[in-house]
Amino acid sequence: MKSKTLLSRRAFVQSVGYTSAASGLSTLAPWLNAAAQPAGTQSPGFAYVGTSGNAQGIHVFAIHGNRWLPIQTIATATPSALALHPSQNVLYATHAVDTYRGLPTGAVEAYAIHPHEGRLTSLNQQPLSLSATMPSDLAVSPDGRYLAVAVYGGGAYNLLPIHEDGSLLPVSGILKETGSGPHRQHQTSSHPHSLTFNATGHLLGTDLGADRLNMFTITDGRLTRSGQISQVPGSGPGNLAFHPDSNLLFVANELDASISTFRFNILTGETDHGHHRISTLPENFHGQRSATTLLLHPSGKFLYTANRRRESNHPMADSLITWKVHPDTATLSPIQHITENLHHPRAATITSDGSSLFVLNREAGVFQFPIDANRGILGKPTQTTSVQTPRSMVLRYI
Amino acid sequence: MSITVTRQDPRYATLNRGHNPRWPATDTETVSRIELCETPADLAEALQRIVSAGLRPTVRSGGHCYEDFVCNNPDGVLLDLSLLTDFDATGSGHKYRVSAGSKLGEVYTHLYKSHGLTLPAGSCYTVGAGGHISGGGYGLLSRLHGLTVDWLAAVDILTVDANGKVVMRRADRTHEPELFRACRGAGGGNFGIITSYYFDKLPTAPQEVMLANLSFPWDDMTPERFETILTTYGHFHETRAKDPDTWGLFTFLGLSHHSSNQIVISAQFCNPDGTCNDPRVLNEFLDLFQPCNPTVGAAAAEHARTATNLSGHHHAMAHMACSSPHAVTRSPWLDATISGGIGTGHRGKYKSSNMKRNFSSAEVRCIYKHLTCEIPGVDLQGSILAVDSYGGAINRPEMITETAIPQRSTSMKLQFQTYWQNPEDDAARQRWMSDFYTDLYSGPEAHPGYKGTPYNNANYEGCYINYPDKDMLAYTYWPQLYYGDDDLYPFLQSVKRRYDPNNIFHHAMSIRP
Repeated sequence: MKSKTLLSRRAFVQSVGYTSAASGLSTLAPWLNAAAQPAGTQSPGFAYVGTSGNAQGIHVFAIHGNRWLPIQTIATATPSALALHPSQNVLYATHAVDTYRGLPTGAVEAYAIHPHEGRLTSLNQQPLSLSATMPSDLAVSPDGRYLAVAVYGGGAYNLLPIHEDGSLLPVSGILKETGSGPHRQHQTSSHPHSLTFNATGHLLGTDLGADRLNMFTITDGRLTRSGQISQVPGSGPGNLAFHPDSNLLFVANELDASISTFRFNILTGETDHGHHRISTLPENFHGQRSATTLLLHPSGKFLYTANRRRESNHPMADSLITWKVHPDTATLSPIQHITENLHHPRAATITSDGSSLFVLNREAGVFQFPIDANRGILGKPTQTTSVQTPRSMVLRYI
Repeated sequence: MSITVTRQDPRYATLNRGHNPRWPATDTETVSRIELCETPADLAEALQRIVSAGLRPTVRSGGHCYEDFVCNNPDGVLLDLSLLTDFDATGSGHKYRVSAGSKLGEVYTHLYKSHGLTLPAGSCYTVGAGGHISGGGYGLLSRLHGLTVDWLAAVDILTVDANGKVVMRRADRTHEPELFRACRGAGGGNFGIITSYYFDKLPTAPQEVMLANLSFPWDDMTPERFETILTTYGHFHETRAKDPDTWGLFTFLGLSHHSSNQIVISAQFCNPDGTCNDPRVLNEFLDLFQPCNPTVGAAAAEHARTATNLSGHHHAMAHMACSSPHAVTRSPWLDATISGGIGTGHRGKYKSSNMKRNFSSAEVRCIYKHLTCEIPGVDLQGSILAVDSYGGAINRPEMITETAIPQRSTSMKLQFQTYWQNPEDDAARQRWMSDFYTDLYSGPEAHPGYKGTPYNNANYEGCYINYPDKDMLAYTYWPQLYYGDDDLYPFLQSVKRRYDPNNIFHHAMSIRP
């Protein structure tokens, strides 16, 4: 599959400039960006779970071994995504709504986290730009200065500066997307899905509606697109992850339930030609496909993906798959399929020490799967909480 | 190529705002640049650059938008169409063309001098055709000839497709008919950028008109006299004004706050044939107010001018000479029309409502209360509730499904206006108007499920999108206030999804996808 890059020389220079500015902060980074930059052997002390539906809010739990003790529930509008500030003292949450204070937009909210008790106190809310409805993902820059927001409904990206106290300043960068794909239901317009900063502060996002990856640069609070990488039409790129110590990039393609693995130079936007794509579902699968989750084990050796049941009665429709990563060939091979204890898994997270994987089930709360450190295999799960319709989760380490 | 005005350009500070100095309210709301476009091709190219860069375009023709839909566009781009003024319809397949940047005064002058024709559009000279016509477009001749969009034959419109490509479309009854209908009244900033309006047939301009003014000083006003004036006016419009021989009569009742000294009635009249040969209808109307002891003639004209010149609204009717028995003056129609005000420079806030019937006693008492209220520390001069005559040729029910204007049972259109200078007064002025409006539409005539608004019922017929009011966003049913509670709004949403799938054109009150 041929990939295309639109990165300009000017954008390349800007990217490098940003890296230089941020490089002084990278030494603070061992606990940053838990998904991409594991925090070593610390144990999580608190879990924050965002729920939608009838009991939407943020549920705070104190973690004691395998037991979660609920300590706080905050009612808020559809926190579809949560993100921690690198200081671990501020939590950011989306309001995935289509109307905020009468205007056609969503919002984001900042919460101060009590350093010892883990409890949340709202710092402030900020509306997103006009038409930026239904935000779907958040990413905090490694230097802690910006919150980037992927806006699924409104087809846009927003950037908000973060005040010294962790509160959010008004939107300073707006990027409106266009684009479409062949899927009649989910690709009539652009749908930014996920955003990730890598450790050097480069921002990459997926667009499920337009089958694209987007690279961004941040300059004085403004967000500009520095490159675009087209993906397979109809694939619907969703979650993504950088390999910790190689140039591999993994993308879960939600609509065709495949995983793309390719070498990616974030400075130039160049990708290898003929990258590896592998389906997460068997050939006899029938019904609508929906690959919802992609998590890389902190060791970089294993990858975990999930499928969510959507108009299908196939036994693999709700499934969790463990993959072995082959960095030398940029390929994946499946080593485990799990279908038990899964009920519309929509999201998941992994501890920074790589010992546990948490899966958020739409109907059955959060399940914790132990991970065999050597083989990557998931063990028998336990239910940590039965909160309904969990959508998002972050772990805070003590 | 368009003309680009960036922040460094000396023109930027002038061109980044419209006529209402309330916007942009802060530096962060300002656009990054203005693109002035002289041709549709310039515009298409500029729009493509904007969309490809991921920026938000907003569009201005005359700059009279009543809300912050245009000049509040943080770091976006303002497309200024005011240089897009070509009237040449050659090769278009249609007889007449009005480009989006033309000002109404220029349109009237051109159509009159070139063809002896006119549009039944608004009275403010400098309002741009682009926004005015897309929102319906009514004015002093609308009772006689209907709304401007009732005459519309086609539009040229730039839309942005799903993949971000700018497309120039011709929409008419047979090509893109849904888009065409949506462009006939749904309001600006929704589907794309209209560059040209086309007409095949237009009404003949009147030869001359008769103008009259009455005024009623607040000094000796009583609640009883106030009620007589309002109900006399309202009764005429609920009943007699439905007769076609009256359709050449346009009237204006200016209910100013009592700090402005007087309330006024102004009228412009011609016979349906465009002459002033038979003034009986005008005299009949003016006779109705004799029991109210109006001041007439030049003094009344001066009052009327004072009451209305802030907005420029119906300024034309304030020009006066004397003749008996009703101090009526006769004027060439064109002179009366193109002397309309320019409406600029003041901070302003507006609301609207459509009334089907006469004022009730409860409504009269409520209006009286708010026009005579004093708020410590707040000057309410320059505040007026304008009651325009409506109905006549507008109220043809068959036009409901032809156009995007469903209000075809209204007899009076109300425009709440307040004008001031100091930003410090913003909150108090808006609160006064909001309290007034909410109170007025919480009475016994209001729909019990929609208190605080003129929701469609036996008495009211919602609001007018060309007088947009963001306060209505507090109500989840605001689209029904502007587009009715039948199937028009869902229809407009389907057009929106089809022709602007990425919601490139949006503002606080645009059609939600």
